[in-house]
Amino acid sequence: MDLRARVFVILISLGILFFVINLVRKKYLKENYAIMWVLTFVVMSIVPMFINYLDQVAYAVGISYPPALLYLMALMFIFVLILNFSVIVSKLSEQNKTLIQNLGILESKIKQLESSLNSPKVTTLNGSGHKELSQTKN
Amino acid sequence: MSKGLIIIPAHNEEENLKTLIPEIRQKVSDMDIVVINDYSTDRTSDLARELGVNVVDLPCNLGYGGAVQTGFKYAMKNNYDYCVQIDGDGQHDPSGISSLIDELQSNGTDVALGSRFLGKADYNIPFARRSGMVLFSKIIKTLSGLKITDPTSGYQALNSRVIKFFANDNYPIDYPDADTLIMLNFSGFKVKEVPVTMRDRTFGESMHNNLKAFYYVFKMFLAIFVIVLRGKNFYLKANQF
Repeated sequence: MDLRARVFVILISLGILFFVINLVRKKYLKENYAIMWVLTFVVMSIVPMFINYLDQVAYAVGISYPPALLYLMALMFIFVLILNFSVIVSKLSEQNKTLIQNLGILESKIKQLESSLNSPKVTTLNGSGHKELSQTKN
Repeated sequence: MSKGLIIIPAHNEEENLKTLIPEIRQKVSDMDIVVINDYSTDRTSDLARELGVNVVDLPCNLGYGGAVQTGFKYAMKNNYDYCVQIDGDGQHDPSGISSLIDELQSNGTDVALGSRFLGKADYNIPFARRSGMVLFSKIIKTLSGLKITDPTSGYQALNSRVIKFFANDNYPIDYPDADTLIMLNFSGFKVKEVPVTMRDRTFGESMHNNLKAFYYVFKMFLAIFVIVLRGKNFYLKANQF
């Protein structure tokens, strides 16, 4: 790999790395989700220095066209990243479901309480404090 | 005195609830009723309130299982001792409620499952769905020893232990089916089928459609496989709270 090409790749990777860090700084990206991206671009900016070993590794695992190994690794890495997102989505949808259910139950409870406050029978039974409450509501 | 709750999950079931709720009232007098309105676009919620039952309005559409589980959470929070789950589409004949509860109270059963095939067999079920039911019944029998004739039934009575078990996770968001029954068995609950009558729906559209069938069968196989992988110990532990 030509020296210029290596410098080019390293500069792009460092650029994106700073972009990611800036996103965290501005709080557009949470630290826990930023870690994998930071690692990705740190690795990307180091890899060009060791690219000569790629051929040896490719032949060792039986791939006769070394760049194919590079693409394979990149693809696998992206799959893992996406899988990680599916895990996060599952967790979020579970939390979302719980919130929706509890919100529904709470609202029904509030409506019940409101209607029992508004019914005249309860107001007279429970004394002045409750009467005030129902009046402010009306 | 034990307290019972009837849970009716409903998504756009205005027309069916109009007849279903008075019918339930006529057959059962000592139980509270709650309608879980799964983000209906018709007057399901208002109508149920006018009929004098409690309503839980979900702010988004959760799907059948999510709505039913809301009912279990409601039952748990309000300390009900047992509950009956009955579909809002009017397919479940309310006269079955008492036989489900009898089974629950007399034989130490944890879950009494309403079956339309136990006893009688003159229902019009499409071939594909019928063969699916036979297949999943076989799987349930092999894995848990339970003889279930109607695994997709959403007509059931549960005691407070199972309500708690379902309210704390352990319940699928779409349709409870063979996987749920195997899970109940692994968790040490006693499940028993009771013959009930089911009718054709009068209004609205059914929740099962052919397009989803493929996805559904695959999901079911995966769910059962994972339950077997987790094993009985996992569920027995989950049940100890």
